[in-house]
Amino acid sequence: MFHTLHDFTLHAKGLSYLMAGLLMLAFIPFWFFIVKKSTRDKKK
Amino acid sequence: MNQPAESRTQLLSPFNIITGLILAFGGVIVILRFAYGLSYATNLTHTTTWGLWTGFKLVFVALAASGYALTTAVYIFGMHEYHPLVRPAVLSGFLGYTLFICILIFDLGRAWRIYYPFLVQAGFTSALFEIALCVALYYSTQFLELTPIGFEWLGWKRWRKVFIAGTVGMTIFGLLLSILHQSTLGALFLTVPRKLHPLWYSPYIPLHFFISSAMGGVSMVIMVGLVCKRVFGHKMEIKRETLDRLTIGLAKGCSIIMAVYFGVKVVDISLANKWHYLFSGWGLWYLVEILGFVLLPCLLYAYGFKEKRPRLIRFTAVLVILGVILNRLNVSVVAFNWQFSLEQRYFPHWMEYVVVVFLITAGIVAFRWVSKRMPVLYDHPDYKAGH
Repeated sequence: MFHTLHDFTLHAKGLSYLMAGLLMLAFIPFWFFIVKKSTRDKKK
Repeated sequence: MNQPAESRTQLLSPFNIITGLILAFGGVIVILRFAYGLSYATNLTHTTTWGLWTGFKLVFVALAASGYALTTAVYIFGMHEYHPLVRPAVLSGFLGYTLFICILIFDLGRAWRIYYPFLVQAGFTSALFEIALCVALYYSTQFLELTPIGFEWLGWKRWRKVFIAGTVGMTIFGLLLSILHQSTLGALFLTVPRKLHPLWYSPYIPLHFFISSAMGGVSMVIMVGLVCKRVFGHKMEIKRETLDRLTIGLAKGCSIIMAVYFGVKVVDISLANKWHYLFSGWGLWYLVEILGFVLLPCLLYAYGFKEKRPRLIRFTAVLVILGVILNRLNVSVVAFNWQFSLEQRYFPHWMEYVVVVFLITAGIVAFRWVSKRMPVLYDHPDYKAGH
């Protein structure tokens, strides 16, 4: 329960920064998964 | 390579008969709409002024993004290996915008006033004015991009040379216009924050619409390529193996776009602290859209790209297209006026569905007509060096 706009913004933005950071971290292995050549392609 | 006229037996093919019946029936409904007004053919009221046709306006524009997506990839990013798919993509985009204009006229009526926003009373502060201007300019640009096809068909070499020279400029102009109007269609809903369910409403809805149009457009290119190969295989110059390779490449790009879109949607929920809405019926429906039609296809595209599985990618493209349709209909119809009781809720009239099917059929027939006669799926023998 938020009593002031400041409390709400602090909570919401804090969580958002956390989510954005986690998503960006998760994007790195996803990017490498997409971009990196598979062993099947390397053998060819 | 002019194709001979169809024989009588070809004219009475099952495809022509079925589409002819749909077009005839739909045409009658359209005439009735204009003769007796909106209330005759729709369930729209003063409280619900946007309905199924508005939803499909958004759908047609989103899926017509195949044009700007592929021309940008080929002419701006230099991915020339995708060149064989440019003309089918631009043609499907042009027809998508044609359907948008048709359904807009059916919804608004007074088609003779189509020029009013430009010459009589421009509403410079209106988002709809910006959409009208951008769509008109982009429609003209796409038409100009398609004129070389017509000139090759007619044998007008000099005119073809002039318009081919402007391809890159038209592509850049088209990309700018697409970014503007794709996002502004989402911005329309910024005016109705209370009417749209909080899970779908966001101050960043213009960004959501633009990114989802990109993924819808790329998926449409995959679908159009598949359908053209299946239906017009004998006319399509590109080999099956090459088409599969291009499909796999498109899946890579679309997977990244969808990953970004998913991230943007998740951050949007946390920015407005909308987590509690997920634990409701509406939340379940939202999760179906985001997890089933965004995250899952994103992962399927990535897997399909890595394992080189074009059939899986094509199935995923259908999933993405359905997801874009679902998103647009959710925003404009399903989650719109979400607080209304069941008695007040809008449900489309059967004639509205008929008109939508009529327009989609007309688009397919037009695409087929152009592709069978003009150098869309193959290079004209006189210009094989490239265009």
